[in-house]
Amino acid sequence: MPNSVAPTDSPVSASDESLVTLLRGGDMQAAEQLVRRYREALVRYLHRLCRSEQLAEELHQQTWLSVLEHVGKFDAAAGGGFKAWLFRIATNKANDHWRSWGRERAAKEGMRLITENEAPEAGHGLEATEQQEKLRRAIDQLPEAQKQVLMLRYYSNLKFVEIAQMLGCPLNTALGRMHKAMLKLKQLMER
Amino acid sequence: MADIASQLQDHREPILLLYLANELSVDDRADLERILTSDASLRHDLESLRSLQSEVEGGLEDLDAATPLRTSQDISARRVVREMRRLQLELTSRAPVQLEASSFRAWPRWVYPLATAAAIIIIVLGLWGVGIIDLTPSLPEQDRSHMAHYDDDVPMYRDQFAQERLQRILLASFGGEELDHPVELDETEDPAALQTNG
Repeated sequence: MPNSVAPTDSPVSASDESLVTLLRGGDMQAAEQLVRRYREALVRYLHRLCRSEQLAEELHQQTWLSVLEHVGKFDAAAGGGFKAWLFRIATNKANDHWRSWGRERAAKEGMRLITENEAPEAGHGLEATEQQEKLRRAIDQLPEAQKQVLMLRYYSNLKFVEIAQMLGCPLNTALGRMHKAMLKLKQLMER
Repeated sequence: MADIASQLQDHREPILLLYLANELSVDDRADLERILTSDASLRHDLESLRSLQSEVEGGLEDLDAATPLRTSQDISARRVVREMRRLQLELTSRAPVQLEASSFRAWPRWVYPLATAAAIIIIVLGLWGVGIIDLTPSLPEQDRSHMAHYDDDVPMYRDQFAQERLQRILLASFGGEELDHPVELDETEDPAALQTNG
């Protein structure tokens, strides 16, 4: 798969599982290696889900704090290994955020506008082309369930069966959402 | 073969997606490739899907390349790890409190009822020692028949007052002491209490 933002390994390429074992023992260097390994993919994923880079960084931090807090419960034998567990926590963080955001939507209308105006892609780094801007807007218009499957697949590179397991839906449902998301993106891009 | 063929009827795109992702089992993959050689429509759908997928993935790749994250990897990672260290300190500082509590609970369970029973016994003995409570057994009525000094025929032992009055009557009847007034019974008093056997 694509995964232009595949996890970047540190010079010493220890496996996730061995680093998790070290982390359980309180080794914060192992934690740092894991954070660096998944930072790009995780922040990009959260950014696409919540539309704000600042919020994505915050959720990224919360994700790792949860990892540290619950690393004792992590079962390496469970499907997908550490990466699936990590993305599951991140997805839950994003969902929690949207749930609370939904409750306070009216109160936070102003914040939404700020988030939209923030337009992370605009005004910094390389200039996004019109086509890329179109794609960004198209992604924002995708239904949450479809967007989650598409982004999980792209940024985590997990297997579809692992994604379905993570989201708690049948494999065919996850695949159907993936297909619909891609079709919808194409359709929105052609407008 | 029949299995993957029947699945293709209802779940065409999902099966093709799994094929493109190389996530079909070896047997299913072989079956599907066999069907593809003979089914032009399926081949067409597969190519459309492959094209759609690479278009979307390429678009996302370009979008990410054009929009680098504002916060650098180093800063972001350091910030996260700093917070993790802080949380770790918090978690370890919580541990001794839990340890103290657990050491208190470390006594064997049987100690608690035993200690309670011992405390009750000591308190009762203490109260008995200073005379606050009387441990003399008070037997039920039916049991008294077995004991001579509680015999109903000698009711004087039941009541000290009745006993004194009876003594005075006996002394008077044997001339030892004159009663200065006749014995009068209260309405509620049992005459049998004043009777004697002799």
